[in-house]
Amino acid sequence: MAKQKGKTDNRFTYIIGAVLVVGIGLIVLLSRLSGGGAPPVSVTEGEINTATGFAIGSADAPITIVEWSDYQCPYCAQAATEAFPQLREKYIDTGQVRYIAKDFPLSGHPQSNPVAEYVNCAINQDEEMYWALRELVFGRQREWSGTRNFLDRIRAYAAEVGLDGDAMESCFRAATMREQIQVTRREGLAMNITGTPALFVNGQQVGGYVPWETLDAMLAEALADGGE
Amino acid sequence: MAANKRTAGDAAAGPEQAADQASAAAALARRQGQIRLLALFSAAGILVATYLIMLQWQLGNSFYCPIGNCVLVNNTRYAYLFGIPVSVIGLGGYIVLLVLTMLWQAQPDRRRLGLLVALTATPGWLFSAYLTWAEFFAIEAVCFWCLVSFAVITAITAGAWLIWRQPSAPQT
Repeated sequence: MAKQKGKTDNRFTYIIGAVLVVGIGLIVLLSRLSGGGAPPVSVTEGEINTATGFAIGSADAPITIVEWSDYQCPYCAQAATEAFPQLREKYIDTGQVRYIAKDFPLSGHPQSNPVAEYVNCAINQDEEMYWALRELVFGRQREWSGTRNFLDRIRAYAAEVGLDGDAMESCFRAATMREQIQVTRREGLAMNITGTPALFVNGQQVGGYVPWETLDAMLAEALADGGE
Repeated sequence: MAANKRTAGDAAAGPEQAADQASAAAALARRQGQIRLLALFSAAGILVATYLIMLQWQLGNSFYCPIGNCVLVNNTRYAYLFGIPVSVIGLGGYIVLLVLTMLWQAQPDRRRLGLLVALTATPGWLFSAYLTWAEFFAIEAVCFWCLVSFAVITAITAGAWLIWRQPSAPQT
């Protein structure tokens, strides 16, 4: 009788163990899958989709730069605050470069995703304000990253830029930008990106973080070669 | 004569005693089944808390959150207690509850173990209730998996108290 009871107890322990192992296995497996439902755009390995992300500059520019970034990544902040303003002044505003920003929130940077979701909402109001907010958020990364009230700080930056807080909030709460971020992240994974920033010039990866002087020289050379 | 009397009395008590024993055993088995349900709820709580940790740290490519905004809720100041993510605290709590309910189901007649389960679950329920209040009235956004966790801890807490309140099976 006692033996039978012991057997039953053991069986229940196994059942609980199996529930936990199968359950955790399923959780990991499902979270590894890319996005729920049908993807809104196709992701091709090794081929950059220039229709997603946020673009600035002439569509006819001979050079297209695509950069995947993460809002909590220090080198992305450096690229956005040091290289990008000069890139914009010298190449983007002069019609020589089209720049596309894509989000790639990294695992282990839990605040990057919500920040990207919030910042991207700015595009619904004003394109220029989006770029201003992006630069401000990257520029003040040390001020908000890792803090508990980081979203309140990001909201304050948005107000500083002149964005309508209520519109930003309703866009953010509705998770309007989530799918888009998942798409650019999937695209990054398809491009074998393992870290950020990941900089591509005319489809070829040139970095990592690329200091302005190096990027400037690279672009000047490419333009001299007719944008190749 | 006296010996004869005792023998007759024992013979009369035999079937009743057997019936009592059977009914006590059935009650104990029923109670064990109920406690096992609590253990299964604790295991479910572990899974939900694990998912919330992964969601909070974005340890994956995509996360399912059919209702509300799980990312928003898990990145507010309410998502931390003394700097520790509440999902991690929840995971710890559910692990303790699973261990206790497993011990209790192995000895379902030990009411003290039941009391320990109920007393462990109650603060968890109160904390979860506070977080649910915060979702609705402070953050003004809900997180589906946090609500599931609240339902699970509610079931464990209510279940533990109800089972504990049941009278002990008569010792046979």
